[in-house]
Amino acid sequence: MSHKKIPFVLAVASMALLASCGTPSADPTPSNSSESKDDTSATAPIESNTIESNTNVTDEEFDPTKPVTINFWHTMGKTPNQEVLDSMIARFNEIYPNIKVEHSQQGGYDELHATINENLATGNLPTMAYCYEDHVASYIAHNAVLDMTSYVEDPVYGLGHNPAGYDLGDLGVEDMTPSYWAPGAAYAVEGRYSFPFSKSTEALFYNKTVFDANGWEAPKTWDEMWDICEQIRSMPAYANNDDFYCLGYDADANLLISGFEQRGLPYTSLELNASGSHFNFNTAENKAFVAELKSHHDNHYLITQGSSSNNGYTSELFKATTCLMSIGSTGGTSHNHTDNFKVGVAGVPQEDVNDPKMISQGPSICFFKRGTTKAQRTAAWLFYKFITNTENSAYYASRSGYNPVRDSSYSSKFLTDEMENATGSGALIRDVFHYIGDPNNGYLTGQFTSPAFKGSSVARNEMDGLLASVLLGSKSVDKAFDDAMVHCVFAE
Amino acid sequence: MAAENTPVNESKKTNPIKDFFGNLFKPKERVSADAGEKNNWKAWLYLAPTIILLSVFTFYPLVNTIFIAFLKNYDYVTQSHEGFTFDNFGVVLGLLGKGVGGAMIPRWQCIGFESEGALGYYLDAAGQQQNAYFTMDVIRYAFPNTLIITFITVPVSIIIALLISIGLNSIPAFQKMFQTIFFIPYVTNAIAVGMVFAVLFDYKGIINYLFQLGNLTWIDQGAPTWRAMIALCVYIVWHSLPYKILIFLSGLQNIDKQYYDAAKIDSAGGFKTMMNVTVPLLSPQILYIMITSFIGAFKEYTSVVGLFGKSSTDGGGTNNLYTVVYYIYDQVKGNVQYGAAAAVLLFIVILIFTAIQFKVSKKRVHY
Amino acid sequence: MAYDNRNFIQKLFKMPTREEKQAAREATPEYQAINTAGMTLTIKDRAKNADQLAKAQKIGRILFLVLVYAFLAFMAVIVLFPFYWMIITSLKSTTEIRALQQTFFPTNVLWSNYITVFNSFDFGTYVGNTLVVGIISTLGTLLTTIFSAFAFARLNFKGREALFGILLATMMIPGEMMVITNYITVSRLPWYEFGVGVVDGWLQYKDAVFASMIVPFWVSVFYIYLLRQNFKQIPNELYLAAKVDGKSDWQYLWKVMVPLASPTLISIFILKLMGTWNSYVWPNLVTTNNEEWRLVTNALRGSFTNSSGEPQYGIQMAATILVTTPLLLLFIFFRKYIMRGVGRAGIKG
Repeated sequence: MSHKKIPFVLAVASMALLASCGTPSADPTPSNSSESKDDTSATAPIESNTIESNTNVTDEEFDPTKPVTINFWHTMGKTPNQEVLDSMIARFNEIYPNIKVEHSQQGGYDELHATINENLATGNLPTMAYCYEDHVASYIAHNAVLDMTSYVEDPVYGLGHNPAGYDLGDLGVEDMTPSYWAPGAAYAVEGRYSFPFSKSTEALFYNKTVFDANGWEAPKTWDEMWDICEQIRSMPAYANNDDFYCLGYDADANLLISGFEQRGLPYTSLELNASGSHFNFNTAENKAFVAELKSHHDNHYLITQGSSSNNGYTSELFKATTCLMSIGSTGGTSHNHTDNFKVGVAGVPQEDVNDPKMISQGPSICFFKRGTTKAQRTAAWLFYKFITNTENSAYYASRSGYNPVRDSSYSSKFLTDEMENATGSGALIRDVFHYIGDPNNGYLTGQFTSPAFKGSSVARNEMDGLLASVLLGSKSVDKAFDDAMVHCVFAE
Repeated sequence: MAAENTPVNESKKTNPIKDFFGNLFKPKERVSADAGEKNNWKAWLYLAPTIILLSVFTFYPLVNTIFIAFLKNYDYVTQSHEGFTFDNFGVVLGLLGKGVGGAMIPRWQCIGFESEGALGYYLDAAGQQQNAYFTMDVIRYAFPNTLIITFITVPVSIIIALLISIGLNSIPAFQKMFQTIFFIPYVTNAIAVGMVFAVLFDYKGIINYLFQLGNLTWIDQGAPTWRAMIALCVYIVWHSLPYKILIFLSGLQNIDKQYYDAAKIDSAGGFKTMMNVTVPLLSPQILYIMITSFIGAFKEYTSVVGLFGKSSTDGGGTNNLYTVVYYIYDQVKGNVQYGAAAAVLLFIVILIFTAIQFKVSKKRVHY
Repeated sequence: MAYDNRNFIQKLFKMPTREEKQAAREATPEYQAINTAGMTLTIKDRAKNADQLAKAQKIGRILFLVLVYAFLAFMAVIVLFPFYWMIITSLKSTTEIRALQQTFFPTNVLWSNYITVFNSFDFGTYVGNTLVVGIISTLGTLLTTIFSAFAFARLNFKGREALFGILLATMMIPGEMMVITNYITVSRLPWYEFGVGVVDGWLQYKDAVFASMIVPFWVSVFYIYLLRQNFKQIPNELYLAAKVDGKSDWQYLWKVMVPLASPTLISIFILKLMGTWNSYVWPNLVTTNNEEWRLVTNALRGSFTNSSGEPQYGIQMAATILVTTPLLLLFIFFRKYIMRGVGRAGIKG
């Protein structure tokens, strides 16, 4: 048990350090919360802010001395992510003791999305929630989600600004990692609707022990990848094993979506195409690409989560050495760690190494205006600022395997300390951070997200089913594309 | 009505099953009033809670669902729609497709098809060939699967349940023990036991091991639909046996022994007795079970979720073990009007099947 | 001339008819030598024959019973096998579960699966929720059922049979037709207002969610039907006698009918409780706000969706056992009521 507390202690220590630097004299934790109502120093600036509200006029503005409860819906597992969150809440309450943060796991992303969709009608919504960009698109369509521009720019509570005595340790907008920050304002409607929290991309994990023994290097392009697969598969040790595949790809949809992106093939577009649809993937070139993947699967070069017999993560196959390479989310880095062989980290293979493209994934956070009060919204915003400050973002990243959302986090004292001492899966996470953080590897500029609109999540689901059914041979390429297209157009 | 004369011996003279049908299909049969009309207001008072709750949670939703089934582009979040239409039924049945700009294209206007009818080609106003997409989920998967499930599990489980209950009825000892064992699946959770069957049918599981089938996939990704269907049917039959056994056995125990004595004098064999005496005398129970299990099989959903989880039936999923109710629940997320239309169609199909069973069995059921 | 009843082949090969054969046989000297006049018909050892017949019948019956028992035992094994497999799987390690050689008893009895479940699955909370929802909805159901069964069985009013027919007909409607609208309905009912802070009342948000799981299930047509049957079997004379005694309908209902029908009421109580324990679709829809409000079955399906990679069968099975055992215990203790309740007319759910 004691080893779990170390990061917590570290985090508390670093927070205390930060807090004491910012406001050396102020005590950030007034304990007599309910009695100190006439302390107006903190409430005064609120009047001046420009937070727009289209609901109740009798709504009271946020007052740090008044108790307020916010709800946070997410998909975090109990360990370690919720433990990290709980420790962050505890430290947040040392600064804002009157903001009570209630959080709950709503199953997986699809379940969370479905739950919020079902509750758009009832207004029974949380103050803040995990979201994907395409989810937010549908929330915007229902006018349920809050444009946070004024919160970000607020002179008192904006990003990088804090009233005296309430330092949350956040730096300004310029510190947010651009490729994660940009999509939050890239919706069909102007405004900033989502904020990065646990972001990840994909990386290639390879069996370094075997690769080194054979003098192979991690493939940088897909051509190199298939060459190596051919070599591996021609070796007697791997040729006769029907369960063996050279490369496992965890997410079927990502393989297709980033494959389309790298090849310049159409997938979806924000603007309607000539047929009046967002969905452009039903072309002969796209089909040819899938057919090519099918041949690689038939050659035992490639297996995906959807085409593996029990729908399990291919990282498990990788650890069991029924794969020698695995491409998966950096959020799941620890699942690729094993003590049985050395694990190497490399980038996702590219079509064009000079123009690398890798998918950026992971939930953001959005704030709801329906069913919430002004005070709740401001409190939620403050909470977000806290959990994504330099140290907390690094802390969360190092525990969960997601990437920090701030540039400063990579060089934060906490993360570098953690990395130095890391062993086991922690060391693998460190390797991933090093790889991603290195500007030469293209990850800082090359990450993309596919456009978000009502129905774009359906397209993503359909890509999963499409590739799996083709690889498994249960549908022809043509039929798989047409079936996917049917579900997409009826979701528009 | 016989029941009004209140026979003292409850178990023999009022057959609950007969009474059930009697009430359901002869509601006009008048009863001689024994207490007059003065109880009117009092009766309605007693019935008030039931009627209020039923109105809110049964009758209103029923009407509302039928209403939604005829709405165009209904958005249940904002409760907005664009008028009334029959299109939803056409879409669900794969007769109407979406063409350019979301235009509804009837199947018969298409000049060619691909992908088993999912993609149709039609000529637009300018004479250009365009694509129209037809949803085939119900026609190709959900409805056939539901029919297959129904026509496999209902007869198989009825026959097995009949054999078991006849066996139970003819043994002198351990009857209670066996009866209890056979009833146990009834008290278990469909989702939980589905997870157990998933373990049994795992490709490295006990079924393959026992029958020396190698690494045959049943419920995993990539398993052929027919094998997944077998696993599903085995599970459904297993789970539906106890109720049937119980009903049959209580029916058997009420059959007068003299029928069997008569059969013995005629020196009819065991099988002959079964077909000529037992089955006809059990026909009310068999009809009742047939109707209820037909309805149940048409609504199969939790067994699919329990056995396969959600993934393998989703969207372009690989087992394609979609059922009609599964389709309906899937539509709740986005296309409520299609879900409502499918629910109305399901209701009609169930009504037709029930009516047919009544017609066919009218001459054969001996009350 | 006698009708030639030979068939085509017999005619073709000029085969003799049966009569011709008999005539030929009678013409033989052996046949004519039999002196029928001196013959007496005696049935020897009559008793012995009957004994043999009885014995043969007995052997036949024993054989039949052996077959029946063998069949029943075989089916019982099939019925019980999943339970057995569930138990031993919960005690196995993942490697053993997926091993090539399946074992019928765990080589290493592992209790760690249960510990894992208890650590990640807040069993007490879910059972508590389920019991609260189950008991309150059951009590409500019992009340509405008693009232309406009484009205249908004992009181005479215009449209009684028609109304009862309509009620029975609702049982044939797929519940799926109602789910969509009902979800919108419960979300719009005033009780939600208490929770969201519009009305700062005594009701918490949690209560509103629980009410959504309870109130819509306060009526069950099947149980009304079941209890009405039971009420009808109570002799009319009792009712008339009670009338003579000056008892009101209300008193008669509670003093006479309810006590007499108590076995059925117990059956309904248990079946309803079991129904709540097993319910999945509806609670899944309404317990969205907080995972701590879920019922056991939803928690069971939800808690292992995020497990990574290979299915954690051992842990899944341990959780399944924990969810199934209370039902089995309930069944063991109330077997009589459950089986009678179901056997009368009950349908699951």
